[in-house]
Amino acid sequence: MKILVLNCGSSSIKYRLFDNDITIARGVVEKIGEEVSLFSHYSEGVEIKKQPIKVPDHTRGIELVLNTLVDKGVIHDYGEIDAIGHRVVHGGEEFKSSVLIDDRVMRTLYACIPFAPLHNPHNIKGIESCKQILPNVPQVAVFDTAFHQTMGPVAFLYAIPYHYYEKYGLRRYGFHGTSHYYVSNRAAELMGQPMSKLKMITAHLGNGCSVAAIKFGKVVDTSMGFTPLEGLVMGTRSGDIDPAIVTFLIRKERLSPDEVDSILNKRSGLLGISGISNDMRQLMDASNKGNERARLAIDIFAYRVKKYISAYAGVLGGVDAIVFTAGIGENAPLVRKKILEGLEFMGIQLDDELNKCMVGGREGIISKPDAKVKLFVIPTNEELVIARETRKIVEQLRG
Amino acid sequence: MKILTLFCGNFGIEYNLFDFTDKQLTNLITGIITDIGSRTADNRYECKGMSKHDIREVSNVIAALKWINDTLVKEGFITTPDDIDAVVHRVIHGLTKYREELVKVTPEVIDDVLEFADFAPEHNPYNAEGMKAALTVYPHAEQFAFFDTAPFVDLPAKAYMYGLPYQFYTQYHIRRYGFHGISHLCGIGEACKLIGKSMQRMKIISLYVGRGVSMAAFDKGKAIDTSMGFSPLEGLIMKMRSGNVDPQILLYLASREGLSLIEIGSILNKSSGLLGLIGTTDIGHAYEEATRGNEQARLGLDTFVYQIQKYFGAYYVALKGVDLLVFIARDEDVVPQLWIDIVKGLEFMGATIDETKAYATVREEPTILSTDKSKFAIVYVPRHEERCMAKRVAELLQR
Repeated sequence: MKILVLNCGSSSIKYRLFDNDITIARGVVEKIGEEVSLFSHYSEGVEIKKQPIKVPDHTRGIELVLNTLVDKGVIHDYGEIDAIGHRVVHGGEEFKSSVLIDDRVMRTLYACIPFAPLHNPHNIKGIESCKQILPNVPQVAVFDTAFHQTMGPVAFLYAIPYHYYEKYGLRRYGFHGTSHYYVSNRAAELMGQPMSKLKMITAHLGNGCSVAAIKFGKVVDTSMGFTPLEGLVMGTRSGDIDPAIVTFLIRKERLSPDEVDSILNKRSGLLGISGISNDMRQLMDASNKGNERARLAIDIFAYRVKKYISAYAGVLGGVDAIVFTAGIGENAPLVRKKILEGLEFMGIQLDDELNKCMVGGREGIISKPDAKVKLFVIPTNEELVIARETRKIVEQLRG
Repeated sequence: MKILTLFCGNFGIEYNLFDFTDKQLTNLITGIITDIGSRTADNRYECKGMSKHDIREVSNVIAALKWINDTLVKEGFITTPDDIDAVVHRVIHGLTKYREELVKVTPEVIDDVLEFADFAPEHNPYNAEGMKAALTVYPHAEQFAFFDTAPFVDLPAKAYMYGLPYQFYTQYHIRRYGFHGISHLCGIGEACKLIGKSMQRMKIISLYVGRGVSMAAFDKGKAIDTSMGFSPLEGLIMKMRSGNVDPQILLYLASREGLSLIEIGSILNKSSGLLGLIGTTDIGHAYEEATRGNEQARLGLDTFVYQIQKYFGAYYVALKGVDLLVFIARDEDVVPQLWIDIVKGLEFMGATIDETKAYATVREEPTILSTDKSKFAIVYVPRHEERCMAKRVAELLQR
């Protein structure tokens, strides 16, 4: 079965075409709507790298992708695509699992826009475009929030007046759900044990970062909250701060709410502390050369992850496995080491050699053989989860 | 020797008079004046086993202090203001300038406390005014100030820095300060004495429950992390304060409810926390409601307890283990069921509480709550920062 997986952002479309679990084409359209857009495509024998091209909107972008798939012989015609799976960032409380998109679902998706004003509108644009171009192909929405919907109210409620929860759905939702789902299941596979017997902590450390506590296959807590701003220190996001800082800044700097929004989401985190970059590789270079603020940024980052991991170890009543994934999680042995330092008394033993070589998309175990807590690096594969979810729903549809 | 302790805030003035004779400290009177600046200011106090109540027109802090002095004379504890040997002020914010919790009041101290008003607008201006007034009313007494923030000035940078642009730290001194420092220090000091061990050899986590709620982690007597942050709003769920929320919630509410961020600040400080979740600030009452089947009360308490357990887990790891858990509370906040519920979540770390002992706790008596099997000691100590401050000053003056 051929499934096209789409991740539509404000000015980009990432795509991946699966034939069952095998990727047969992938690529990205960037800078949509700008003077010059960029197109990259990879399939058997074809490599297009950042080709300048004019793409005024998402519909044209998706047409470009489909036409390229046909032109390059990946598929003969559009009809070969069995279904399209969309990454949708926010599914609110409505969507506890992936769903076949129909008119009712569309209405609910629109209703979820206020939860993720930066993401959901573009996810929806992608869906609308596909409906125009491929009206008869089933489309499935896979939500970043869905895997976290098993959290109980004790973990998802904030201590603000209760009616804000009832009126606006103000609560913790959590994000990166698809990634946490994939790496936790993969870790269980590698351990040869069912999810239903494992207590796990998964750390998705990319430009956005989140940690999840997963007990017997169900998320019981996660660090991102109502929005992806809460929790860990990230590339450019602050993560947890004293909420009073927001009002203090507005008073002191006479900033508008939009400006504060932009500071907390775009100019904080690793970038804000170091003043150099949101890129962990650059910070590690700078730190090695003696840059104090780069070192501080890494220390703060790692300490925050450590605190969340330990809080969740408590919540879970012990932990069987900790999994690292995404850009930093997959490629920064030094950061992993800093995070795990001092946790030996919990049964955590990092194997330095294994840790050092587990980079660049490699998957494997990095704990010592007899350690109580298994440590893994597992490259995330959200697209594969979206493809599988989509396939499952289409198969059900076909009976 | 007679020592008067004062705690001035926008709520009013709390006062206590102690007598120190033959190394014995005796509390003679404890009271609070509220509604200063009105014709019906209120003076409630307890002495000689009686509760008393008085109303008077009080225009300012000097007038309030004179009223306190009149009360002390009326009750026969002193005959003139000169009978007071020392006045001790509890001061909330000393920024990073005041690293020692106990300092002598000088004009410079008063200026500093006033200058730091932006950081603690509900306390520092009143603290400064209180010190000025005390110099007028008690010109011959020694004057001291205890700084709430002092024990946390030397937290490690990774614990006090936020993931915010670095210039906010250099320019506006935005960092974690922590509060309730005196209460935590006094509490753990008393707990160590109770179990007969030196603070210098222990890893201690303390939970303070009062109007605010906070936790702190101490290694060998030095604080290494604490839950309150830049302001007393951050961290655990409190009586009326939200504690941690996704910072984006402030901006979301601003746009959805058309509120100014100052108004939102006020919601988070005054109508959130247990009040917002349950509708009461009385923990004991909330437990009664929960027992009667009030679901909202049950949920609110569970959430409250869950946050405390998460911080415990994080600090347990930051300390690499723990030797002593201290519950600090007073009067209606002494709720044994709360301790039992908290410790239930810590069982896998080896904690067990003796429920019978917990329920037999007398409010004013330090009590060991852990069983003999417990891997670390669990102790209740009554909140007595005034007594502790008075004692420190008395010992200093006797030397």
